[in-house]
Amino acid sequence: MENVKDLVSKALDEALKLGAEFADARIQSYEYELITYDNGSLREHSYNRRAGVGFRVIYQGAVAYSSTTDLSREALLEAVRRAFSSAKALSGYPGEKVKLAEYPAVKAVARSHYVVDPFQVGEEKLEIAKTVNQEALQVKGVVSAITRMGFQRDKRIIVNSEGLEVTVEVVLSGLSQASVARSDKGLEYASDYDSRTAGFEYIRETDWVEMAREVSRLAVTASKAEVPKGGSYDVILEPRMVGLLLHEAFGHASEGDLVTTGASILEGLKGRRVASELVTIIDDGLVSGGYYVPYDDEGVEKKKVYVVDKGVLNNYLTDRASAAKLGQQPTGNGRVMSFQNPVIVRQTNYYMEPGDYRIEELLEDVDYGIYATSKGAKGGQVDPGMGTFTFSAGVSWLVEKGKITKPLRGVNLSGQILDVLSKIDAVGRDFEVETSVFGGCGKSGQLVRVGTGGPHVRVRGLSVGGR
Amino acid sequence: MTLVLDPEKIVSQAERLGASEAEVYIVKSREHSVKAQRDAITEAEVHETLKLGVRVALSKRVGGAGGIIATMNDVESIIEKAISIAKTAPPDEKWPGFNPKIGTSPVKPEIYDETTASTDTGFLTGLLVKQLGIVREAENVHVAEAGIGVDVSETIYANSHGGPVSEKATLFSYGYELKREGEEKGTYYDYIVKSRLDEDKVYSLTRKGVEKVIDASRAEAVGSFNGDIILGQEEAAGIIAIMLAPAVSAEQVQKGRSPLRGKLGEEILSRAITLVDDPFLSWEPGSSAFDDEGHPTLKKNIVERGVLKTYLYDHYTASVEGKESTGNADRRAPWSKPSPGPANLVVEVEGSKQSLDELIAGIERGVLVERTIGSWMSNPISGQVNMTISFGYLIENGSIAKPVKGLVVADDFYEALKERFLGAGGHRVCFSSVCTQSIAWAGVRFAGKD
Repeated sequence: MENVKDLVSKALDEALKLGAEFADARIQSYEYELITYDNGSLREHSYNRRAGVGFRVIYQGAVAYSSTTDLSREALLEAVRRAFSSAKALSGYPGEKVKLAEYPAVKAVARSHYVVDPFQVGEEKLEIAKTVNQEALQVKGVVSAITRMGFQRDKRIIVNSEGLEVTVEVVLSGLSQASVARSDKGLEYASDYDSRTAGFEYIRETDWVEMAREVSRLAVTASKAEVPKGGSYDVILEPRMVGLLLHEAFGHASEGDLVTTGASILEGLKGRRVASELVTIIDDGLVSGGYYVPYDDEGVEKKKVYVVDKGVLNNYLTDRASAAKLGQQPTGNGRVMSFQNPVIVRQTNYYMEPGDYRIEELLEDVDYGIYATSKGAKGGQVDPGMGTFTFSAGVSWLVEKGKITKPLRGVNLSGQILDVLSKIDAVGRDFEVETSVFGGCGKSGQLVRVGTGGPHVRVRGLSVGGR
Repeated sequence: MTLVLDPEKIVSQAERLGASEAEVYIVKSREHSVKAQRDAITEAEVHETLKLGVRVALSKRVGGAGGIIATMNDVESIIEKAISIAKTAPPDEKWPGFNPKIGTSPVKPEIYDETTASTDTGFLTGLLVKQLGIVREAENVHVAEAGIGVDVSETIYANSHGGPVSEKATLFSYGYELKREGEEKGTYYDYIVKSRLDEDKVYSLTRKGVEKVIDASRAEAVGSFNGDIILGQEEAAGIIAIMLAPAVSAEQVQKGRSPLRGKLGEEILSRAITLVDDPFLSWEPGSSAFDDEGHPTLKKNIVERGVLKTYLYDHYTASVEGKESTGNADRRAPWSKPSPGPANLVVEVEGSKQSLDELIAGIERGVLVERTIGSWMSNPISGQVNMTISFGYLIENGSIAKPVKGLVVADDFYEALKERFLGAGGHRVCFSSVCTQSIAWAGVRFAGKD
């Protein structure tokens, strides 16, 4: 990749010679390995990789991207010329021109820490995945179990025509378990996962068998559980659910590109109260348990951003283009899925700061509500323009007069962005952030790894779907 | 893209390196797209990609590898990686070998359009500019984001038993998010994905959006109530894909993860409903003359007058049951193991209404759903449908009363479409490889702002 970097720098010079005011490139080398054990047998063991270069060229305020997997000098020059000619063609059309916020020509190298390279480990991976899968199947009532083990190495070099050169390499390892159980009420499933920016040592050091057994036991519980009656409930959310809530209910709407295009309901609300004063929300590239984002895909250092500070909207997340439009400094949130994708604004690790409450205290004041937990949650979605969000919970629990009473399944929660955070009336003192090697956040067809989390919180009056 | 891959040579190379069998899946693609933001053209993209997947079997040990290819060295290292993975794999005692029946269906669906293939960035930009002009005519309505693109691809499959088979396809996509500003704020998005560029559809879809965003901006959050539901065609298509595509997959059935296990020959939906898997529909992205393991595709009834007639099979799942593949192998990526999936699901409803208005007229109180979020979080294992209605219309006494939003629905899919099915109405439209009219069922709890 170092050789390629020199050739790419020359290609960027070519863009400037042609008349571009700015050009940058993302050189990427990516590897992914997936092992899937399904009902006791190896369903799939696959490996894939991609390598290539994506160029962005700005000419008279018009932006164009092109990419190539051919890393020869000629192919790189052809790719940058293609981007230039598209940008030039677009520049003739009327409309707002793109400018980038200024940023220094940083030179940096950052790598996530790992001890054992997971791509160099052989049969031990299969043995662990197989054992976990078989143990999950042993729980009475379980009819199906899928265990996945995944590894990722993602090396990116960002180079621009202003002299910036940033290298970021991330190794991510994890395991997930999904179990399906049958009862006289039908089928239901539960699932869980854990991932770390770490090597194979993380897989060796974790008790996956116990995690898988717990998932299977929950699946059995869920298969016998009732679906709640639809309506409005007081809800206590565990940390992973808080992460989902924040990511969907607020995170996307705080992304600067959605704010500048008018697609966010948070447009024009900076400095205004948008949440209970108990709520402080942070986007941070380097939090423990989260994904490793020391620099974004424009080479901008990822700052710890207080998006909401004690209930007040303090900052939007930005890439260089949206920062220029909003008159902010770039916050290091310009990210891409791969070298072939355009830079858009993405969250990194989005979480809530802990408060003072113990979990028992959160439960105490709930007369009739739901304790929503994550094991089996599928994710969430937001319509940032209409202000509506939703997210699913895993196996959850009915709370009656301050006590957890019986399990619930099929819990889906929904609310309005500008309403929900003001309904948080208690924030726990615990804290957890997590990421995943199996998924991430989708936006504009791009999936990127993110982290989410926070403490337990209590929300008054969330809409819950039911029969 | 100058590199040309010979699938037969790759299969031979894998066999020389020790594979008892090998399969090769190649996708070449060229994409052009143009994007607009806030009423102005902002970005263009051009990409060319060559993806290769190689799976090998060493007797009953199977492994796969793949990726984006730049040089012939990449091909060699992918073959070697697939073999090294297979060497460490435990034997799969059910392994039937790769698909032995390679070929194309007698029907060759129309999925490649020369005019679409020859469009360039300039043409797409011109189309998007016209679209921006249509929106500009509406008061207080803006394009928050819009995108238009063309993808030209060729898929090639071969394995140790035969091939190659290949197929060219074009794909046209257009989508937008409109925003209404002023006192009543709201957004509305829509999109179309077809195998052929349809200029008129771009304009009509844009005009529809301009009308809908006004209603969306007036949508009110309402309290909880019980009533009937009509899912508009796009939302109906989405729910059917999420709930039925995995449930009729023989793999999910065999692994105990489908609620339809053991229900062949049973009535699972209303007697009015027939569900067809049709890989031959013209200009639909799900159409193809062969599946993802080179097996000829075929049209079949999955559900006939409410009765489950068949599951969908690829070669592996078919051989587990001693059956023939139904030509439904589907791959997540060129290097993945295939699993059964539908081509295009067509929902046919006996006695359906000519128009959506007739369907609405039969409902005393309910919601016509235009847009949802989170319906993809519905649970095909338990059969529970979940969705949050981000924009819909309240129906009262057989007429549209007002636009609404923020209602959460959870329901039992099979009970709803069997016991409480009210019918279908309006035109049948295809979205995301599901073709359906708007569909309605009774007895839904809408959870709202209480």
